[in-house]
Amino acid sequence: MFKYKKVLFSTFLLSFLGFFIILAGCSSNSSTENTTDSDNSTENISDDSSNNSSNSSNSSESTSSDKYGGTLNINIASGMTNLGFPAEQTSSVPRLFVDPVLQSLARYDKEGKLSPLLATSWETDAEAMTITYELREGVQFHDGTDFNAETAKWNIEKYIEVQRPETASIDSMEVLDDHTLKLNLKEWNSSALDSISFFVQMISPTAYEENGKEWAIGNPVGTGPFVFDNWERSVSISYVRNEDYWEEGKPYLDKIVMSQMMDEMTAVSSLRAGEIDGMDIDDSNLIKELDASGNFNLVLHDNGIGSVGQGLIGNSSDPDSPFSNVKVRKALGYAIDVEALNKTINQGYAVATNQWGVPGSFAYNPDVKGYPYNPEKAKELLKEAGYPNGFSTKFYSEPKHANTSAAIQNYLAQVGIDVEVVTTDSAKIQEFYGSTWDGLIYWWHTAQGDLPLYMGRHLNRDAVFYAGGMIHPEKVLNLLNEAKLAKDRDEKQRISYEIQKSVFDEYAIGLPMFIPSAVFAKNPNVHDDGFHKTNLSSWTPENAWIEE
Amino acid sequence: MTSFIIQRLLQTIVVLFLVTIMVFTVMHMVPGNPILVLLGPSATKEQIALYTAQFGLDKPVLVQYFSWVSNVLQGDFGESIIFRQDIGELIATRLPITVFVGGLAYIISVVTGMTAGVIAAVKRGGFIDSLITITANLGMATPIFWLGILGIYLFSLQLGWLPVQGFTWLTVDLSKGIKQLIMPVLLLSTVPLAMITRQTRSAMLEVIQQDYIRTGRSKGLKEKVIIIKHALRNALIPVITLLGIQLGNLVGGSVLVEQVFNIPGMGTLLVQSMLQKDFLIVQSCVLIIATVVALCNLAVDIAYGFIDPRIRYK
Amino acid sequence: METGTAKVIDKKVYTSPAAAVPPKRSSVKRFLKVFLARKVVVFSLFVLLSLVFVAIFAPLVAPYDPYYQDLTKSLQKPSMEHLLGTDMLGRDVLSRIIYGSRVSIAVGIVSVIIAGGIGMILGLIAGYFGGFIDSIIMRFMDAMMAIPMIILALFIGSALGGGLDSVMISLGIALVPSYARLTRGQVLSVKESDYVLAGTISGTSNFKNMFVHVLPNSLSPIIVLVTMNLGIAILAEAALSFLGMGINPPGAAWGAMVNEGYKYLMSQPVLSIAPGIAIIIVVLSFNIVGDALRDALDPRLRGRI
Repeated sequence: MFKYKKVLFSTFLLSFLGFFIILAGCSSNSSTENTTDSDNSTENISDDSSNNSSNSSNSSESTSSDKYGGTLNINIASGMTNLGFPAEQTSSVPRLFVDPVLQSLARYDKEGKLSPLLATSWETDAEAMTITYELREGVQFHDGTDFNAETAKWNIEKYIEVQRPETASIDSMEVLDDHTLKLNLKEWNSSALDSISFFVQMISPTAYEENGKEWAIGNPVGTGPFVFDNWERSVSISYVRNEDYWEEGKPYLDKIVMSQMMDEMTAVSSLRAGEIDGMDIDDSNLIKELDASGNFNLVLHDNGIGSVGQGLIGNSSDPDSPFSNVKVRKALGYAIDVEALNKTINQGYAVATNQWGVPGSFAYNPDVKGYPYNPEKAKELLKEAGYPNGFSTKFYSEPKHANTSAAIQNYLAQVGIDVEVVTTDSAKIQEFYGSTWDGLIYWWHTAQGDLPLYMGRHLNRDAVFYAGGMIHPEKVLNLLNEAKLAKDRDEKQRISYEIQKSVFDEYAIGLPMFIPSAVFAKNPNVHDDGFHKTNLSSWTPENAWIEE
Repeated sequence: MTSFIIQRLLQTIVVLFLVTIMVFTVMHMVPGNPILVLLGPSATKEQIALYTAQFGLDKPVLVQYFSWVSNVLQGDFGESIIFRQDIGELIATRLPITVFVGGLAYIISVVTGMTAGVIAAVKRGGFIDSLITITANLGMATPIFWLGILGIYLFSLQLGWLPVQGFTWLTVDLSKGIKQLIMPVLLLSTVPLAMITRQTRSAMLEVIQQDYIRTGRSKGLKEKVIIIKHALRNALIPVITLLGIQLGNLVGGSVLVEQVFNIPGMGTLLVQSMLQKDFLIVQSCVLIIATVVALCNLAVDIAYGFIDPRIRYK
Repeated sequence: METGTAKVIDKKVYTSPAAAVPPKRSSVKRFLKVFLARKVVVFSLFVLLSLVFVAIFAPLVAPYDPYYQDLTKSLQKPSMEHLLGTDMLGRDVLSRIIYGSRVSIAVGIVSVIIAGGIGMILGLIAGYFGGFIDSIIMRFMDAMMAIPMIILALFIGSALGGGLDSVMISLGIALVPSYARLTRGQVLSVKESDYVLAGTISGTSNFKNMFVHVLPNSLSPIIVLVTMNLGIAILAEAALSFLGMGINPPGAAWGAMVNEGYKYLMSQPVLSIAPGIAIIIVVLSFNIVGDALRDALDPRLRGRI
């Protein structure tokens, strides 16, 4: 009987191993075959975009007859907590979930300029400190309520009530006529037009007043091309076609299902198996593998609007922290080979940067020198700062950045900084973001060009995120304020350049490393969805169609 | 018997009360602030204060505990901070899914496990015994989430037989639902199946060697009759004990399996809420899981009391 | 009434007075004979011994420094140079698996020591004193057992923060109830047997009684439980890592490696499969050795542990 067992044991192990060898065989074939195609598939996208990507304002070029409807299944790996009451919807990513049903006054086009949506035009007057919107006529909410200046005013009021920073600059509102709304600002704020136009999404006041806030959160009633169908919390949200949409002939799709698989690996497998049509995807290896398969279009988000920057921050506010010394912060930059790191970790799906935003974006200052890799210089700076033998510190990071963290740890070890990586889950690291931390922390930020709005979230004196572990130099605060008060785009850009120079070259408050390209992977038969074409957190559901 | 049941019931209540204290204490030791998770990077200090007050998180911890417990006793689990939904409603959609998937896995593991165990015991030392024993041992030694991922790779991506993920009620779409269930149910049943098989086998072996079975054999009773009528019945007692324990294993396993196959059950809800530090959901989920497990153990004890009266009176 | 309850709670635990017989010298030979009877056990024992050997002498066994990064050699396929290839940061996978054995052993041993230490003390106290103290301790154990182990560990672990320490501690705490119950059952059965009574009559103190008589008699089931739990702890480390509570970089742990490697399943399956097989082989060996130990030490424990 023991012989039996022995034989069995070994055959079992062998068959087990055999199974894996087959697995290994299958996969290595498929990945080597197609690597050459990867460039093509990226090119396809740019074709696709130049032909088809269009906003509501200029979409007359394609006729609806050749556009097949059907159901579009999209996965967005993000939390969604509040569908129908945008005033209390605070993080910007969930806007992707809401875009089919709720609309804002304006949204961004491919170049990052505001383009009309529920407002047809607007005028700003920096001297008089006013913004005047002309609103679209003939628009109705899904419950039949008219969209007009009164309802727009009501919606903006809701934002003001919950102290949203986007509407904080509004002093008062005047309804000039049925479709003209004038906003009076407390002081001129160059970010106000963008943040009010893009972030305030309109819901039906009647539906809200009748059913209350709790109901509204789960039941969005907007003006969008799709009508809310069902929301299964943290599973999926579905929408059906709005037959009475204000834009003639649209939308093309019959149904949209937006699922929320949080595990990217599962979502990618699901995409490969044809269960979903598109997904946003972070992990560079998964992107690379999808790319290698040659079966999907990968849309790289390249205009930098709404993209997320990643980097490092050493606690500069605590005088006992080594990073309170600007030389140490600069040494940190010289010690890490960001370019090499980016190449390996992100495998070409991210752009390295030495400041806020991607090269070429609105606030990107080409004169910022940054800290090109130079370990000798780093050691020198550490010596000058009084740490000839380096020091020990902690580095708080999330599990998904384990590889990046290990690589950074390795770089810092070479200049004598002994780093203990502490991985913490997302809720816990938020606690550090919201208060303070000792040593280093992984830094992510919305690296958009509107510095007073986005950089202000960290650097302003009353800011919350990362603010507790940062110095707030008077000079930077003044510059941010000047940029806020800037009267036009050129002035704002000039001041933004100065901010970049000061924050990164002079004070080295944080070390920006790279900005992931934020890839949207989709079946090639999905067109004009607008994902990752404009702002990272919005898309164009009314234009999307599926090729049969 | 009645007093025995009442006594065990009281004990269960005490245990559940202790669970509420444990869960609440640990959850409030976990660093992290759900309000920050809710608000994201654009949060301002005023907003944080506003929402903290709205969810009552600014109240003293003891007050929070008692208001939670008293609400739960009235059947109100409160509102989720992150999901902005009534937790009772949320759980009402999640719990049936876990119970359904877990129940199927449980039935499969009990039926298959006991059958395999009996067969192995009867054919002791033979080829089939070895096969069953080794498979059971492997089943206990394999990380099931890993097996699940390999399964998705093989059956969904390479062969295209089964869907990658998701859950559909059979009443909504029968064939899709069944296909989606196959891998999760099989994986979930792996560990309990292995343990029940092993347990049944050894219990059977023990019983078979006992005098009355030998007597039966010598009296010329048929082997089948002996096995089914006498041996199995006596071997059942220790197996039943194990069934209660396996239920806990099953719930633990469903956390992993639901995560792998993206099944919207209690497991995914629990893990996600724990990461987002959505206190009330985590507390309620753990409390409900503990209640289910404790009640099942209670049922096992009572069943045990019926089968083996010595336990009641000793 | 009170003892009646106690019996019910502990029915899952071995309470036969037979275990109360102290082991004799001559039985060691018989133990070894039964223990090593099957070749698969000998093989498993060999696997475990080599695991310990590899863990201790990891720096000598491993072909490379498991932490050495070479970003230019990222994600290389298995070759003669790197038998199992390299990971994303260009680290040698084989070396990381070899060093990972240290983490696995550490997680297993430390968590079992914590669980065994706390559990046995609680069990001793509960069993010896009985009454109210017993009820309180055992209801707490029941409460912990009502929460599935992996959830309890995840729960405690997230309160402690991530990292190897909290993985070990949380698993240790989650395993406490089984030891407490086991020890308590042993105490109850030994308490009534003759030689403890004799000890009381001859004037030995209470605590001495506990340690001199109860502990050695509880050893067999505890040894078996420990062996089984070592395997469980290694599996649990992998599961916790999958659920987002793993060890900190740059540490090498099998569970973390499986979890990190499965992103490369399409292009480089070996990254996830190799550590997975390591887990299976080691856990399997622990289970087989545990079974054999149980059969050799006390076959009546079968099915109870």
